[in-house]
Amino acid sequence: MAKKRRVAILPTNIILLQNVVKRDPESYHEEFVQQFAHYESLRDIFLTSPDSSNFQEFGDLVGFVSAVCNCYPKETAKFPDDLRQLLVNNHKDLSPELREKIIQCLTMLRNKDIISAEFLIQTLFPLLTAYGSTTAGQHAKSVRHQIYSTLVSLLKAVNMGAKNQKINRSTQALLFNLLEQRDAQGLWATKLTRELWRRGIWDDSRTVELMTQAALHPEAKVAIAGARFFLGADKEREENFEEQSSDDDVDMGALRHKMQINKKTSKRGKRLEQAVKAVKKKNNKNTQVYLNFSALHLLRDPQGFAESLFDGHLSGKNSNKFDLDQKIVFMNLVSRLIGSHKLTVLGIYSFFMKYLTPKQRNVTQIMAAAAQASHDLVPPEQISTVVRKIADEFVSDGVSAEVASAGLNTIREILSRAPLAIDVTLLQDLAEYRGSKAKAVTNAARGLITLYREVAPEMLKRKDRGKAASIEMQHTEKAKLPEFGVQNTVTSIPGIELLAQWREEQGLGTEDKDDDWEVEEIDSDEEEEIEEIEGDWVTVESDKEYDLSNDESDAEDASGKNAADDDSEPPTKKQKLTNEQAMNAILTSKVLTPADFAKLDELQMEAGVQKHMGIKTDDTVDGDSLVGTVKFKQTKEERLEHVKEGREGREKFGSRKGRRDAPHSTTNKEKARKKNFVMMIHKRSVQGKQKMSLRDRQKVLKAHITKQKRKS
Amino acid sequence: MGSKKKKQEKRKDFVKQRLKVGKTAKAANFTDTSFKSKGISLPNQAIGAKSIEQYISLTRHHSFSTRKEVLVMLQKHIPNDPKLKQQLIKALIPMITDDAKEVRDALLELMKMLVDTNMALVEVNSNQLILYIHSAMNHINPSVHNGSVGFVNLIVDNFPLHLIKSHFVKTLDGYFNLLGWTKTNNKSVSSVSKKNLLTHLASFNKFLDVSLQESESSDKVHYNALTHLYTFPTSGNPFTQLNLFSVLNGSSTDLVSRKKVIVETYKPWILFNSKSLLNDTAEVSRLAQCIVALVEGLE
Repeated sequence: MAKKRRVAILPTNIILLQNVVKRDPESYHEEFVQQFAHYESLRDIFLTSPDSSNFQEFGDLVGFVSAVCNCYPKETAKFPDDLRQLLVNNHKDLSPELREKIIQCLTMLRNKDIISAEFLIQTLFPLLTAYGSTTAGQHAKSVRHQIYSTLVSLLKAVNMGAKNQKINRSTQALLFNLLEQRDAQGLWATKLTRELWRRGIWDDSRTVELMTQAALHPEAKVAIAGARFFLGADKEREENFEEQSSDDDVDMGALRHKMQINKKTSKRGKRLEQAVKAVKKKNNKNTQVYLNFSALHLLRDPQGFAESLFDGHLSGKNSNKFDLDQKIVFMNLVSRLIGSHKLTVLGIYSFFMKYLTPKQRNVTQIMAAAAQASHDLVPPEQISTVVRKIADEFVSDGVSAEVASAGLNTIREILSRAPLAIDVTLLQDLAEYRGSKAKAVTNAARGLITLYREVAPEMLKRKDRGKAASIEMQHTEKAKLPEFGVQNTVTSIPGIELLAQWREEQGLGTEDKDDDWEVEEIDSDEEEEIEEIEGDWVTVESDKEYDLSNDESDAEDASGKNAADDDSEPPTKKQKLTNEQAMNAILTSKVLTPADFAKLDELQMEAGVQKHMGIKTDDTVDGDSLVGTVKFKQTKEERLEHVKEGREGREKFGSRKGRRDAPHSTTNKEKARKKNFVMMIHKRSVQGKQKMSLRDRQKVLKAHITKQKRKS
Repeated sequence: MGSKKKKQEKRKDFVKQRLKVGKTAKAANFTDTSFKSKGISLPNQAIGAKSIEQYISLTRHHSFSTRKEVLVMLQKHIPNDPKLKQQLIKALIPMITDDAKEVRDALLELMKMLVDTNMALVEVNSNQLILYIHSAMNHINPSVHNGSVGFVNLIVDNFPLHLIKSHFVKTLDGYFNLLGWTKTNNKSVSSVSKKNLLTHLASFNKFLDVSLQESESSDKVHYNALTHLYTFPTSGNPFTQLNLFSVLNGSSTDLVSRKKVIVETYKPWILFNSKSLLNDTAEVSRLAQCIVALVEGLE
């Protein structure tokens, strides 16, 4: 029966044959067997004499067999192994096109699920190293590119729904092996990992461990790639997801509006439903995405990592193999680690001293790193040397404004993290720069003063303390300086400042709302429970109030104020509410409702999660912003540029004579006006004017005048 | 001086040409394009006196007529140098799968001549030769796979030993493909023309005859069972059957195993297919009868 469906003439072309075989594998079994035998004989020819064989035909046959081999699983059982052998053992003999073809075919076999993902990965990985970056040759690059993209798309496909941990682990094991070799091959491991991290396919601590290995690699290229990963990969990932989400934005509002105005058809209704579904799906996806931890927070041993980075790449003998830019990358990474995990790597502060001079290239980035590396758990003596050095080198009358401002800004950044690292005299000296002529320097000095008004106003001179701080100092009897190692113990409802801030942002006052109370009364089932909670918070509140009045004397966070002071003090600036202020603002004036507690939980969760995951990190310092805004005198070219900018999109001034608004040919009137006078003189339109009666002439004149008036 | 020269040149420019009756004046920018030549020489495609290496390189020429001419030319100029001869045979073997029939015919002629004159040299390359013949037997282009029979015949007639020892099963499969036979009970598609069928069947008959009947190495001196280990090998790769380096390709080294292969797997299909040919023309049916008789005799 099947025979009848064969085409009249047997195809003499591989592509045609492929087409008919796919449609009806049973009837074309013989032809397939013939071609498979042909493939085998060509393969044997290739194996005996690789140089003389016909690559083109062989490649076509390989493509054909892999395209149809899902139809004949029994006959082609050995085919994938054949291809693998060819690729692994004979890849040097293959022509570039054939090599590419075989890789494509293996990918195709993977897509048809004939071979497993491990099989493909284990076939391709040896090639990646065989054609590593050290291998010269014009085709090595394209091979590497092909394999790389194949691997990425493979891993993406494998992790499509749930994460396929088995394959991820085996691949990561291969990458670990790659990194264990002491050559530049490890670069591929970093590249692949970074790309997969960017796409959110790999996001666990194993991946981060892989990159840790890379960052500690003795080969400079690999180490730099690893360090760059920690510094930039998370930002990259976020950008990638933002791009994806903004790709297909459906304007829901517009669609709804259209539905109201246009005729209502079932088609339009469906379209709206689809759009709603798409938007919902996207929102769901986004929330999923947001639960990604940053690479720095997934480190298994941050202290060990930071120490070995510092010892291996920065301070040791090996540091000579890196140039300055690479060293800066490492400094940045180590200091980020120290800052975000509050580590203790004491050597780094004296290491920075060497570089902190104004003549040093890229010194702002080094200064930013120095600022990042300081936190409150480092002994202040260590950091104070850095501060002293910066003050000596950068902040003096002899240097230019930008240098001084960079120095002052850096000192401020350092001190905001470790306020104890400066002595009173130096601070007061630096505060004197408030009166500098350069605006950038003045601003930087003011920044420093504002910082210490909050932290330790008694270290400032009396005139610098400001009104609020002085009043506060008068009221609190003996203010103590902050001490090293003393933790800020918070004694209040945790997260209350978030609630206060939220209320302020929402524009809610401190007045009670009965609605909030009514909410709980609706669920009468839990009334008892709620009653209990109610009882709880009443006691807590009175407790806290009691604590607060005690603590006020030894104020670490000495900005605590009495409620009475709050009223008298003018709202100087919008600053972050501290816990104690929030307590005062809310608890003294208002009784918290269950709704408030619920909101409090929510806000706390949000803030905590963001902080914990390192998504909202405010511990990085941007080197470029340290200099501040320094304004130089403009050159003539710059000035002219500004002038030209202003003229953009504006019409030129001048006469409009001879210009037309819309392009058109000359009108009859224009033609007549241009005509020779002698030709026109005898026309009626000219002669007639003279022969007009006085009345008519007057009429025309009047009409002309009114017309002119109307025009203007 | 200079001015004088200039004046002269100027005068020359403005000389009025005197026209003669019956003769047209030539244009100032006239170019003479006529040429005298007895033949057109195209050095790229010319086959003149050249060295053997050049001829050999021309066997890969893109134009089939050149390839054919080279082969014809080579018939007259077979080199004496064994190194060159080896080179020549290496270049010739891949041409078995050539697209043009003329080329293949010329190649077959040349190969026959080479076999006549330098049998040993061709036999040394028989492994490569057989690989290409198999490739040709399974070729998608019908004219190529029909043409492959000539080369098989050449081997069967002259040095069949290697073919039937190491490549028996594959060659059988190749014949099945040539004859359009299948290993199923379906009646074969008669895509093979009458003329081809006859040649293929005759060749198949001869192949079976040689591989199943003839007692091997009858003409060789045979002192004991291990003699052949100490004599020179007759084939190019004497140790292929040990299968040291490549995958096994269905070798059946001795007569018994060959008979076993036929009886176990091929017998029913050969009988079925050749019996269906018994009602064909006289010659075909005679050949089919021969095959039936040969195969039925085995057990």
